[in-house]
Amino acid sequence: MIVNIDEISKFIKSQIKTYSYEPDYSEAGTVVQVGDGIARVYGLYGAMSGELLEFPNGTYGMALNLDEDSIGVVIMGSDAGIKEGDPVKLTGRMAEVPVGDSMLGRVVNALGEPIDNKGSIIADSYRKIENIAPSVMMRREVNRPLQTGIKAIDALVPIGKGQRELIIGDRQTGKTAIAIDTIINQKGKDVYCVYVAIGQKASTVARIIKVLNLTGAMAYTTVVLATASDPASLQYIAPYAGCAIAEEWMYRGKDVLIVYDDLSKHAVAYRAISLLLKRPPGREAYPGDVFYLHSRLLERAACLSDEYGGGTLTALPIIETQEGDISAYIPTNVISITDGQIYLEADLFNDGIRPAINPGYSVSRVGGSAQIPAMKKLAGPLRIEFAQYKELAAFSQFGSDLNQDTIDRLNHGERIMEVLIQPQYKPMAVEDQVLMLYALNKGHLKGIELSRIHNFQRDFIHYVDTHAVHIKEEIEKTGDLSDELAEKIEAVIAEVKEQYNYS
Amino acid sequence: MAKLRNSYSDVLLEISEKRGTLEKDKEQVMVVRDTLESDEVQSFLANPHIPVPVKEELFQNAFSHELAGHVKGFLSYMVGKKREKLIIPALTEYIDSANRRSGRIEAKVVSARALTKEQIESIRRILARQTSLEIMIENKVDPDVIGGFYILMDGHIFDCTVRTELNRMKERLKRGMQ
Repeated sequence: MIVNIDEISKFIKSQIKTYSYEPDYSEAGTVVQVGDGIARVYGLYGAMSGELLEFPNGTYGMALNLDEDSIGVVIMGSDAGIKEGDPVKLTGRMAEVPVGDSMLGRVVNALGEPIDNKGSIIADSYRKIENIAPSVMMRREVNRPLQTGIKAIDALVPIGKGQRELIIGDRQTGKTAIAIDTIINQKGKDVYCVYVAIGQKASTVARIIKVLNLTGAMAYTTVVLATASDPASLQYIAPYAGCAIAEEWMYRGKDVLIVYDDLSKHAVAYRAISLLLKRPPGREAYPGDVFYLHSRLLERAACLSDEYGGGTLTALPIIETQEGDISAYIPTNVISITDGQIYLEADLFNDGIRPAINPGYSVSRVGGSAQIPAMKKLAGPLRIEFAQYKELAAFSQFGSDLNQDTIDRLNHGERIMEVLIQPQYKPMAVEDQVLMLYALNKGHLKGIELSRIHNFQRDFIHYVDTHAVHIKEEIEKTGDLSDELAEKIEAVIAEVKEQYNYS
Repeated sequence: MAKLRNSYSDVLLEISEKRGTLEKDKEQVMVVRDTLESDEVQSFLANPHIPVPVKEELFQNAFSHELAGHVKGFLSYMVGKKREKLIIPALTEYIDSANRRSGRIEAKVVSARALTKEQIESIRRILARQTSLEIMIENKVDPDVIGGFYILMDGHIFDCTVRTELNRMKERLKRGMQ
């Protein structure tokens, strides 16, 4: 909704007309010290941990340290205009954000305030940013796939609805690209998405928002933004705010996907706050509760049982490693919290293998139960063949005298690599993936040159779309690959090979 | 720290009450607090290299004739125990408690412009009626409140400033004009 000036002036006039003079009475303390986004407040003996406090300039703060005779407050906004001796009021509220369908297509800050110049948000309701994760009895096992549209992921490290899958890798290895592709691929699948950008450059986020707009993905997406220039307090609460927005839809029975980009910067922001609040530093100067910081956030991802509406919240946290070191503090923490990880390698990326997924280190602990049966059948052997190829490829570098079986395996492995390569922002429907993996699995790509494999994929999918749509419809309907269907696919492949001169 | 501060002030208060010199002691304590509050004196007292007798000498020279024995005793006890930093907080707490016992309370009124005597008197009258305590008003001027005033009293605030009204209106506009 766009608010026009007439409306605002009408509102202000009505406010003035019905203006009643009621002094505000509440418990108050005084600012003793302020600086670096942190204030120390004397008094306020009734303050709760995490409660919102109001500063005289209208800025809110969050009470984090309740000490014996003063409290440590993080200021959620600018600390300009707050001075020593200012009164600080208790509000009796915890931090909350607007939630509901009016958030779709919007870009908001960590407090849920719109920053996209599309007018104010008329929220259905407000939700506290810190909530307790669903209990054991409210959950059920993850058994439905969340299609990322990326062949390498959907085949080798499938993600289920309600799962938490970590995307980890060095800078510039395509971590965000995977998350954005996954959001784009949810188009028409009735999955709502929330993208939380923490501590990123505003220019990067602007580019991402542009892509989401161009691909039409913004219609079902909310972007929660705390850029590198925002105070550490806002970067700290951003993922919780995003999670609250997503959670609301989950409890209403929807399927929701949330991306936290990225949690290493979140931990850094929390470290800054903790050190300024004089909490004791631990390993890598992170505070003692940095594990709980992420575990309580990621535990909120869930697959709810039918009694609770059957909604799901899938989380894709992102962690940036330094020089491929996944044994640093934050990466090991988040790896142990999540149900698997997608490990991206700079070497693979530079070799032109994109997405640069390392299938050896990547794993999905939900695995096959989150795949459609057709995909499960085809992906099973793929993993083993791929691992064998990796081993042989390393070995074969030492000698040229290879037997026919080894050469065949190497050729097949190269074709697997080639098929799994996929350009950015081009997610592929699961039916198309099944068709292509079928061709790969049954050795139909053997005779095709490596450089022509992507052309074959394009021609093959195009042919099925124009001449044999029923094949895709059947896969979509049954999710399975019957013998009868396999025969039909074989026939189509033969036809394509002949027509377009592959062999 | 807060507990320690309170127990020192409680003990001192008990002694004053037993001797029946609460009012007189309070005045003395206020003088001591105001004198010791300067940064120079504080750093002198907190310096661990200055021996205790020298610090005690300062008290002797400064307030030798005016202070009651137990107040002097309190000061040398604190210095002897190396709790110099707690002297000011304990004395402040003592003054507050003594005021409360004698039915008095301090209130800070902050306004955009200095209030007239009549205005302060009327605020004092209303507050006294509401709390049935004797109110001692301190008026401060802070142009940032834009208009109106707020009263800080006993850890609570009565806020009737234009600044707060405007903030509230801003919040309601942001939340969608309900």
